[in-house]
Amino acid sequence: MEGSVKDSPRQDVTALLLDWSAGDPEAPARLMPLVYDELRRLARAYLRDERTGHTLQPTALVNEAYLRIIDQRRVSIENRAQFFGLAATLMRHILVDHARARAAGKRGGSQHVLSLDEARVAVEERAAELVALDEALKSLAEIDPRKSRVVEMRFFGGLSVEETARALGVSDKTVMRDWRIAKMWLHREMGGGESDPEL
Amino acid sequence: MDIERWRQVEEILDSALDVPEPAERARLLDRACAGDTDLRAEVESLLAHHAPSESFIESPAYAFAPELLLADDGADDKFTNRRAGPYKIIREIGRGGMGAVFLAERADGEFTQEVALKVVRRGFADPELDRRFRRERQILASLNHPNIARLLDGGVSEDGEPYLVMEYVEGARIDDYCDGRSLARRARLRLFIEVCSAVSYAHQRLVVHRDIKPSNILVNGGGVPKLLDFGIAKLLDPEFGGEQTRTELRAFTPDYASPEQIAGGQITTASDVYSLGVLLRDLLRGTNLPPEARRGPGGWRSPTPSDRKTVAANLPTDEEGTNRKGRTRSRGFNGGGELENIVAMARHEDPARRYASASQLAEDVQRYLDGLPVRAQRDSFTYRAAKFVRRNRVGVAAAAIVLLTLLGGVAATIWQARRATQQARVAARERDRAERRFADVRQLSNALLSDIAPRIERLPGATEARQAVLTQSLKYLDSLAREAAGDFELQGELATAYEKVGDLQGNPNNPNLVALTDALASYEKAQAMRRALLGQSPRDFERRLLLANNHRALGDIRWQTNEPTESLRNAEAAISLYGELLSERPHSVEARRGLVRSLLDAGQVRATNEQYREAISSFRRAIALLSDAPDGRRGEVEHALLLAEAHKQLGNSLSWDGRQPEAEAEMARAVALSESLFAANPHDNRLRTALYQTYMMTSSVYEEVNDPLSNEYAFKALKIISEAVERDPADVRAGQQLAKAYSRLGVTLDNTGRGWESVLYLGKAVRILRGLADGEAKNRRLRYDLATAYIRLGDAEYRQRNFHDSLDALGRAAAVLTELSDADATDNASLRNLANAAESMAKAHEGLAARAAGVERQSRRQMARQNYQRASDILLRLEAGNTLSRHDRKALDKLQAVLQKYERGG
Repeated sequence: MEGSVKDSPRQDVTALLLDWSAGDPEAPARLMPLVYDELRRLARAYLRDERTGHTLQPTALVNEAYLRIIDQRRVSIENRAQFFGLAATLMRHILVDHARARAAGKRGGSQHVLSLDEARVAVEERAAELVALDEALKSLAEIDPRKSRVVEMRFFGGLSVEETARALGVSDKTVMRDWRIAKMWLHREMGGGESDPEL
Repeated sequence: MDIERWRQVEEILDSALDVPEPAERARLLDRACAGDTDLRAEVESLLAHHAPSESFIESPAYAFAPELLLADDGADDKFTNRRAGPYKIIREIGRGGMGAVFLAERADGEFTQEVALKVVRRGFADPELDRRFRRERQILASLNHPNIARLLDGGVSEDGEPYLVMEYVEGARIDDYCDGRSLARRARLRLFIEVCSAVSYAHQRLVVHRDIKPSNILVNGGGVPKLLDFGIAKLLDPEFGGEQTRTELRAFTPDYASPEQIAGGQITTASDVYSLGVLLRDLLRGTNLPPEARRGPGGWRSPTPSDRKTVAANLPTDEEGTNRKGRTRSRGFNGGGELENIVAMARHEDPARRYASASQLAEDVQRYLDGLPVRAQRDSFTYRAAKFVRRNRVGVAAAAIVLLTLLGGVAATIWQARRATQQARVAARERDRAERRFADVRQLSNALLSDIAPRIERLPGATEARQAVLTQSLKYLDSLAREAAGDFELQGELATAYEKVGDLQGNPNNPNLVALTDALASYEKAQAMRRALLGQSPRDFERRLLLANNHRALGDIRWQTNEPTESLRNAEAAISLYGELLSERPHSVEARRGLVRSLLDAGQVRATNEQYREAISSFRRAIALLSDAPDGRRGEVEHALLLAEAHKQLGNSLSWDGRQPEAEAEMARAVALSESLFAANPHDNRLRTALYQTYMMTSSVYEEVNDPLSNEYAFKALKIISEAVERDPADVRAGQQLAKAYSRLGVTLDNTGRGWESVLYLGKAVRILRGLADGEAKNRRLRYDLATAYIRLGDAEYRQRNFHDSLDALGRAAAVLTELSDADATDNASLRNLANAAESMAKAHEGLAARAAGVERQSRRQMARQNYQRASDILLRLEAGNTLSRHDRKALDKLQAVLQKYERGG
């Protein structure tokens, strides 16, 4: 609903973001639930648009969350990148949480699920992939935190190479290299078959 | 792997990736790894896992994020303690393919109420669809039955998801309930009957459940079964509103779904009857297996024969429900008994061969309980008979003709004999016998005309048979009439017979419009005889009364044939005759009621001629006459019915005269009278029809001032007549009235700014009429009504600015009307409507022209002009025939002005 984002949370979010830039270590933790709610809400709103033929644009969700809950007059482009980075992390949490709950629900045998629901089968598969990806990303973060972040931003946050680079404070080229190698690593970790080395 | 080692791997990998050529890459690796085989193996393994470009990671998680988020709402603990509108969610209580169900409580007021809250996993981007959803929801919310969990509320949550709020039922699934308590068969059947009553109640309100199955029927602690999710399946159907969404989810449960449902065919009340049949079967099998065992990998499966065996052994059969294993049952379900027939009939492949309604199914189960023979067995004959009639309409008609010819022949012979005996003056005994036989024939003939013919009239698809009966009757009467000169007694009989034939021909609901002129001829023949008879004895009370009746009927027919002057002349002749008779015999109920009826007729003609003051005084006089009636008569149904009619007509005229408050007061009187009459005689169809007509007219009185009460009364009319349709689905007339009620509701909704709902109801009217008209290709009236409904739909679509849909409906109307007027040159009503349709089409083309540009705009304007021209031509033709009403004359002037504008504007 239009009125659900009131002035005070908007100011809160912006202030928290600024605090974070200023080095407040508590800021991200307090910022998270606010961004989380907004992202969830937007994701639903996007689904409805999608039903009428719109496709979900990767950055649109994070962008819109940003526009809705940040007072842009008060923040810089760096703050924006920071926010995007945070949003990507949150998206990962949201999606993986859901994917895990799904997998758990499946084991528990939710009895009302209709067998004809084919669309859900696809979702089940995706959920399993997401959980595996999350595990693999955790392992990757142990040896190469930045590559793990790049994947998080690109895949979960839908950020472009440029946006990712800005959020991480590295060059575009670095992001591209990280992305390329991280994918190979993840593919192997997640048990993907060998592919044609020519590719 | 440690970080240092990874840095090495990464570095080599990076440079190797820049060298796509294999041999060169191998040389690079040789150099970089420098004999470190572990390092080399690690790098090569990663290179081998160069992710294919279609890997899921390549497209951002967003591609399926919302799907995942929404698919999983139910499992989201974060939902707990959230709110949806004024409801606070307490916990999840179930989940289905369409969304999750939560226990919630209303927490905005003083009271708290536990409810089941269903969050719908779909949204409506289309506001039109959203409104339609709300409308359906409103209809569902009006379902108020002790065995239906009520739909209490609905709304859109803060997350923008639609949700439905239902009565929270705490209880067990009906099958678990029966098995858990080892319920006896009779108790199971009684529960089942309750379920049927709920389904039948909803069907009467035109709501189909679509997903009847044990998990949707809970039995509460008091042993009361409650149906959940009534009609919800339709709201959740992706095709709701004709829209096709990406995910092909449909709510039904394979084992319980009817063949037509599985095939994606049309879902009707018959589909619910099928599901009820499956439910009955499963309740009777009453398996005690754990629920998991009943579900195969593909969802539900039918119990296998071995399941059934277990069941047969475990199911108690006596009233107490105590365990009587091994007792042989005389009418066991497995023994091919009556219950099996009931199940088989409910579950028939062909929807037409199932029970016609849930209440019929319940009735049959009740008959079984009462030890009466069930209908299910006999029905195969009825079915065959009905089918025979359908297939052999000509044959049935022929049978009627044979009967008539026989009658005619016998009558003529006897009559001859009678004359002969009179002339010969033979023994009185013989003459008496001939008289008796003549009386027998007369009785038979009367029976044919007053009992058999009206029944054929109500038979769907029997237009030809009806026609044959009337033609044959007339032939018979005409041949008798030729011989009747000088025989006053016979002339009296013949006049009565002609009038009966005339009644059948001129009945306003007679399917054949053309027959009105025939009715006129019959009544005029009768009148000539009545006059001749009266000439013999001018003061004869009875003969004057009969002539007055004849005048009144003629006036009525003339009104229907749109001859107001002739109609009024006859009504006034009747009024003066009845008035004379009443002053002679103030206690004659025939004279008084005849006078009242003719006053009502005359009043209606005057009101139509816009002579409101005369009409009003005519109605007031009728009311005064009724109040003066002797006390003993006032309690009679007929009296009250006439009084209600008089108040109704008075209200209508007052409203037309612009005296709205007085009009509304009169309508209130009419409604109160009609309602109490019907309440006292709920099985009298005539009173039901009268109440329906009172509601319809009250609706039209409120329509004058666009009062939303017009919707309410139209809805009441709809309700009362849909009950009649439910009682007798074969009743064509009730079907027509149902369509009229839908149509009226459509019109009033349109007037009160609820245009999109209007389209919905007019669509229903069209569908009903199309169904009826398809069944009777020769029935002109049905097709005329269908065309009118199409025009209304077209106009409503036009006001919604759905110009293409408007044109579609109007085009269909025009096609039907053209056909009708081509077949009968005297059918002015069809022609006038054809002009209306053409004018509306012209407007729709103009609407499209305004949206278009260039060539399309030009051609739309061209089509608009052609249609205006067509409308104008038709009205001019009618004017030449001198049958143009004042209203039409104005319409013609307007049309010509528009055409001139086109002329000038090019």
